[in-house]
Amino acid sequence: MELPRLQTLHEAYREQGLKVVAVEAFHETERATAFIEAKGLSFTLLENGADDADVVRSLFKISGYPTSLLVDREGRVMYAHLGFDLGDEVALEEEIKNLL
Amino acid sequence: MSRPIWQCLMLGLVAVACGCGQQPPENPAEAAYATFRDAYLDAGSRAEQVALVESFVAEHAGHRNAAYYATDIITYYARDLGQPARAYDVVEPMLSRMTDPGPRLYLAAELAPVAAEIGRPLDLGPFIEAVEAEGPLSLDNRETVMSAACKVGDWPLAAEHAEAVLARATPEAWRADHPDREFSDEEVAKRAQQWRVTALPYLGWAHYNQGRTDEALELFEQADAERVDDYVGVSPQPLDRFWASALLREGDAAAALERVSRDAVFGDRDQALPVFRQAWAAVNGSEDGLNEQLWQARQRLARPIDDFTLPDYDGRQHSLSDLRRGKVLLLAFWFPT
Repeated sequence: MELPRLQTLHEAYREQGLKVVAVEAFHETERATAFIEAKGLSFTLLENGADDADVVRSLFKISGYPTSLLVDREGRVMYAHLGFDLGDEVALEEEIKNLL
Repeated sequence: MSRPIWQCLMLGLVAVACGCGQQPPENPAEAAYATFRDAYLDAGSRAEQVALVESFVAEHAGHRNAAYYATDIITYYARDLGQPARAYDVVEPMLSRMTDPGPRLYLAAELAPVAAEIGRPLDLGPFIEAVEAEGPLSLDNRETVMSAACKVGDWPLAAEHAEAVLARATPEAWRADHPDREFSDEEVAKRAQQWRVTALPYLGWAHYNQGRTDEALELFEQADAERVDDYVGVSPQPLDRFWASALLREGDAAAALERVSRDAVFGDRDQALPVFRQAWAAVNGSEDGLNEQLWQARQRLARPIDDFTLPDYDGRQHSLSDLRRGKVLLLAFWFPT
């Protein structure tokens, strides 16, 4: 899901208990921070580690971007989504409502 | 989407990402592309995006990313609006104006099932030959063709390309085909295996549909033994969906249901859900309780999220377990384009 769409979900559901976290995968620090500022993103934004600390590829085996995982309150991955097709956020929002 | 969605999006996204971030616009086409891309990402609906894509491709069909975006047109008209003929009429003329043979093959392959659906079959032959004229087909090219061939039921074409991949899927052949890649033996072996696991499901499914059932089931077993799944246990290839479809036709609906469950809840839902639905109807006697069944499959197959600790942009460390404590978590991986 594109980050500005995550911001919308963050604003709509944080009070009901949704936590949005995005990890930037490639250490594009300058471009990432510029983008975050330009889009006014206020959810939790983290930066991937390098080499042994690379959680995006080594732990999550992510190879396509953007990828989103939806995790329930018990810590189970209940939904996985790759890509940024418009309309996908409708399905994702439904899943979020199911889990909240 | 007419090929494995994860693969397809990855291809598209990597192409898009590589195309736009690395250098400033230096010619009118790049400037137009940059303007188009920003508008595309800001668009509020698929209709709006498709209008942007149509006008961009009309002017810049030669742009290397034009074909990837043009697949949106197919998705929108053929799937969202249920107008396959319109998708064909808009996209087919674009093909002859595209100059980059790889992306053009990809678009032609996306269009092929729609073309077949409206009784105007699209011959992929010339598009394949155009890529071959520039060099051997890549694994992505082959997968594009195998996937389209399976969609339109051209089993000899699917088998031909799967066999061609398997013939080159040894470390020795892979190294000979990629003399410019300086990879270790371990990396080469991994890539050769990737070629194998990519081709095996398609060959199995092609063989199954050619009446070679035993060989097909053996190929699925082989593919299963070598599969490399993603984080949620989904194979990037349509192995489980093809295998489940075969099991269903062999009369083992329970095994088919089990086989396709993970794809139906975590994988390429568009493709896997119809197989899940058929298998459930066969097991259950009707489609009643389908959604409940999907929900149960999800509960059963969901894996626990791993924990990690990473810094934010102020340098503060955060552990995921602290961040998500007691909450529903939406975790996204991204990079700036």
